Amino acid sequence: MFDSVIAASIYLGSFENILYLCLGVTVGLVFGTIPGLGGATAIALLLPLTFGMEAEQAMILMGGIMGAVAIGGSISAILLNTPGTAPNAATCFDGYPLTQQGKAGIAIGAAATASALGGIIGLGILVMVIPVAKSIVLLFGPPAFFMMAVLGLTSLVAASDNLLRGLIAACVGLFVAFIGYDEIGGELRYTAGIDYLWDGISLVPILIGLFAIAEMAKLFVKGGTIAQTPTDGDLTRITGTLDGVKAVFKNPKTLLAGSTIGSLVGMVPGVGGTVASFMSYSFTAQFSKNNENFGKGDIRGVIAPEASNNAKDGGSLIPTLAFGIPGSAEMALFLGVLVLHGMTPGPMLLIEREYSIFVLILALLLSTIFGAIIMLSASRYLVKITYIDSSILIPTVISIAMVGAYALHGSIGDVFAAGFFGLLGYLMIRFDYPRITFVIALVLGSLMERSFTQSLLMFQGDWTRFMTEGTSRILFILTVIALLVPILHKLRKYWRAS
Amino acid sequence: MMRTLQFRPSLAAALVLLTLAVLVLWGAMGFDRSSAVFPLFIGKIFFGLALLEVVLEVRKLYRPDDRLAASALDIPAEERKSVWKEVKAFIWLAAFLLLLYLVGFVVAIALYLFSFLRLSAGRSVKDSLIFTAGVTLFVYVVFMVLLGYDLYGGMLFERFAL
Repeated sequence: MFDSVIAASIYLGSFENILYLCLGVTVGLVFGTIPGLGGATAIALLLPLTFGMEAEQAMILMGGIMGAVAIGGSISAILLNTPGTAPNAATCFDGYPLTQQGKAGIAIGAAATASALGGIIGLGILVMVIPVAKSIVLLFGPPAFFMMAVLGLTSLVAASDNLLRGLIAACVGLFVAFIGYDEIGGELRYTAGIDYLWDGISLVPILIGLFAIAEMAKLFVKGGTIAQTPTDGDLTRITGTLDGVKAVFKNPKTLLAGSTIGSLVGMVPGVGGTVASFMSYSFTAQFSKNNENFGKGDIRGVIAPEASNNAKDGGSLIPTLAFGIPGSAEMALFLGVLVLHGMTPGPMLLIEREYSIFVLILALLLSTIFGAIIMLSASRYLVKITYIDSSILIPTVISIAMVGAYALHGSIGDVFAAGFFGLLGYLMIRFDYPRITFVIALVLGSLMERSFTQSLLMFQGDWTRFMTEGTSRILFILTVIALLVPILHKLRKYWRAS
Repeated sequence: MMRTLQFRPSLAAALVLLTLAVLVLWGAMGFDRSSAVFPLFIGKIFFGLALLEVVLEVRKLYRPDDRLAASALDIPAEERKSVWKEVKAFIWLAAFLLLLYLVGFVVAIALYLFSFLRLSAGRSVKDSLIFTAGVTLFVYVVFMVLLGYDLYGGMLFERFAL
């Protein structure tokens, strides 16, 4: 392991790779700062740039984005009361009151430092867990893999607001994964006689459509500038960032609690950063001494969610890399990047590509540090990005997105597919069908089908043995619990109300 | 008492999904056994869920609370405005796709950007020209020169060798 770390450090230290990392960090910060865009759109847009790169370079670029997005998101949360990304929402509770009190600099200093340190702690936990994860994943056979994929998908659906629509979106995602030549039975499925569909629909145009184009359509309908909430604080005078940095070191318990919660929650497939940051915020608010100022501008209310938000990246890499089960839209897109570069996520990835994994870990580590430094020095300029008029942003992003959709296979069909999935993505937003469960089902489709078929062969066609045999039984029970918890929660609310 | 039922777009979406579920099942029945096992398994679940969604949406049509809330908030006028904006968003996208197919990336991007900025955003000719030139140049330099992608030249240019 130590050799891999050194080799990864040397690789990452080259001028070209540092340049890719800086590009990723810059794009991540900008897309994180702009509410509504976020990491998934940034990854979808930068995907085509990675086609000619080595797999590790693509990981560096994407690591740069993923590490910096959450940091960028906290700028608009603190200064505009508009979270750049969903997990930054908890930062608004105390970050914006601090801005209103003229202490924006302190909040930004604390957010940047907590993000960087949280990221480092989260990755430290990941490095400790990797050896254990390696031995655990080797115990998984096809039935356990199938049930693990089902559990990942179910817990993600359970975390969404609408359980039924989440499940339906997952079914549609699986249907799209069926399209094309079937490797198992050697048959063409759901191609409707269209030659373009024989190889299935490439992941890149689907992701570009669902995220970049659908978000632009949403912005077109909304109109105006992206951030519309005026701030009561003076953004031209952001001072006291050093006091914010010091505040993090004065509250080590808050930092540690936030980071640990973030890492642990991140490891659970499908739960994601929003739950992690809200959980660490409520934990800190509940168990801190002198907690009467929470919600009115307590600096600990900025430290806890920001530490957790960046620490979760380390944790969420475990299910993504070891089982191929992404926990968020960003991770699903990142998984797509890995697959495009010939790296199949799963147990063997941790064993065979340890070096590549450490390149990613170091890239994430550096990106949080670079991101925090840029945030400390340039937040007053970065926040101005949110005032860009959407009429400029929309045609630019759509043009670049379409070039990206075309670039991988040089197929005009992919461009039309991106347009189609843009429409589908918008309709999913409009009718409240979660896109994330669709994407994850699509990514997991072939793994699920392969494990399902292999398991049925092992079980001689008796599918009930998924629920009675070894590890898959435990995973089945967890799946049932994951489905029942939100139903019971809703029933309890209903009974209380009536 | 005569009850007027409001059209619910979410019911239309649920019906489309139910139709898709039927198509998934119907398609799977025509495959060989090994290719059909998983699509059939998922298709049945999909059908059940889509049917449940339709039932829930139909129930909402008859729930007095929802109908009262809908009329009190006067949603239809707002909704119509927003629907027209949505249609416009996808007309722009469809026009861009058509342009791409006919004249290729570089020309289509330039035309799309300029017309979008002029007609949809109401920007001045000068601003639109400068911005269009900047983005087109960016796409040309990054994707064609630096990354070496051979971007699609357009059906018209390729067919008539213009």
